[in-house]
Amino acid sequence: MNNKFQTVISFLLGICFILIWEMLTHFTHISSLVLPSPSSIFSTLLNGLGNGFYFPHILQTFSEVFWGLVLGIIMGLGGGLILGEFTGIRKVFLPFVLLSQIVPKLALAPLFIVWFGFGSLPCIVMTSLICFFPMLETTITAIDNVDAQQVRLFKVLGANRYQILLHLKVISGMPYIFSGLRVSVVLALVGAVVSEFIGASKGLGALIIVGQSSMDTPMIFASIGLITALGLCLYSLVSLLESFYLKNHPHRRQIQ
Amino acid sequence: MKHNSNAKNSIILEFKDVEFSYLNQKVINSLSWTIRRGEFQAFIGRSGCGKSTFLDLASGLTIPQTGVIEYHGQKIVGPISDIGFVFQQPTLLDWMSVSENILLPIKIKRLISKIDFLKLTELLNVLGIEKHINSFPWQLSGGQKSRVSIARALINSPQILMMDEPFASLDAITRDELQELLINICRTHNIAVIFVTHDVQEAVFLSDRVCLMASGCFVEYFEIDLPQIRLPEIRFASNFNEQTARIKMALLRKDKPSHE
Repeated sequence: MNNKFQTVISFLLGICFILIWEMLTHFTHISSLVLPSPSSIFSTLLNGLGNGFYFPHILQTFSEVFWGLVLGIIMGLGGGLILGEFTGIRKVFLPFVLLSQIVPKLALAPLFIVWFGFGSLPCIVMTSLICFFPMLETTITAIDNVDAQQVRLFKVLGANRYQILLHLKVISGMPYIFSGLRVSVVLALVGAVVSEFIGASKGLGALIIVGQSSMDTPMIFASIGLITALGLCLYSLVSLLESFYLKNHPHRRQIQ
Repeated sequence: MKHNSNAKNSIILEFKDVEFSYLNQKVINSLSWTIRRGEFQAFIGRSGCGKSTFLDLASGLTIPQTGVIEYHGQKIVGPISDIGFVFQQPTLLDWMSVSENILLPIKIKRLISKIDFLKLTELLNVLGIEKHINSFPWQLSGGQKSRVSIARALINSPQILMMDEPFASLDAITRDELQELLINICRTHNIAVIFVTHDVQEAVFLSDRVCLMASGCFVEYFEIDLPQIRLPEIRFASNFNEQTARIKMALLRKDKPSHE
């Protein structure tokens, strides 16, 4: 099967799914409160986008995801570089890092609201905490997986530790770091939305809670659709960045 | 660093009673040895006879426990960065183009200047890879990669080149071509070479002297009696075959695993 054919099949399957859904809502007795038809969800979405109802919420969630990502990436990348390069420090700190990851972070959300109040701060903290671990883990893996012979080359050429780390280990580990970034972006969205569930009055997550309490199922679906679209945009952005940056990386070429 | 090294036959590198042990096992055993400018020395011996450690010591990657190693009369205390080193594998960085790979030794030390680019162009021409200046390592054949790694070792205009079985993974024809190219470059620029190999014919064709190594020291030296300029035809001369046979016999005799 060639690539084009597969894309067409995927597209047709998606259309079929929506059509079956639409017919189910029309020809069965399922209440529209339980399962609204795709057409009504779509019109709710278009209406909301048309009169600007959704924009402040999209912006809110996006800014939480963005700042959470920035913080999480800085912490994960920085921590990964330190723990990856200095094995002594790694042995001391890794148990704590692991422990902090095994604690279900979403269960910490109520605590964050107590500490940081309502609003976007607890959401940003939660998001960054969730993004932190995959970045840390992949950065450590990236540094561990450097080619020993290339390190020898750098040593023969008189490179210092800092040069070996930044010019060799980090760059040769970029495919790993990017895979961490892709996971982080998707997780960031989950973090932001779930923490909005618990203590926010704005944002797409908060909108879902409002929809639930007012039995506005089409709005819940519309919000889910927007969250998905946001996630897709972020994921494709990272993929695009990756394919641009890694166009000469051997790992990337193997995948292609 | 300025070296008093203009004399044509000055000593570049000298080992004085060097010993090196690893995990209580003596790897290098009271070794004394010198190499002069423009001299091509080949090193032959069984795996584990200490050749790699010898190269690590000569390049300053490891420091001996006893004895002294001097580079231009000065004691080595860390990696000597103005030597050229060629590994068994080309060890090119995949994310860098050919020109970036070759300029890497300079980039690590300082900013790249216009003169470096002139040197780069010259090396690309000499090594016959000028068409590949903007290619990436995965676009090159094995022989081309080897050429790039040699160019990278030469970009600093080193007085000494250390090569650890650089042609071991190449096909026979490419290997012969690169041997001829290498000896020409080294003769033209009066570069000393430490060349580790398993191939006796390669050692004889390239070098002025073959050092036979066993259990951490040089057990026999062979001065090679061939013309200064090594033409491909030399490989078929009876003189060449005799010397190859002599070294192979010595290898069979001496090259037994040690039972110390």
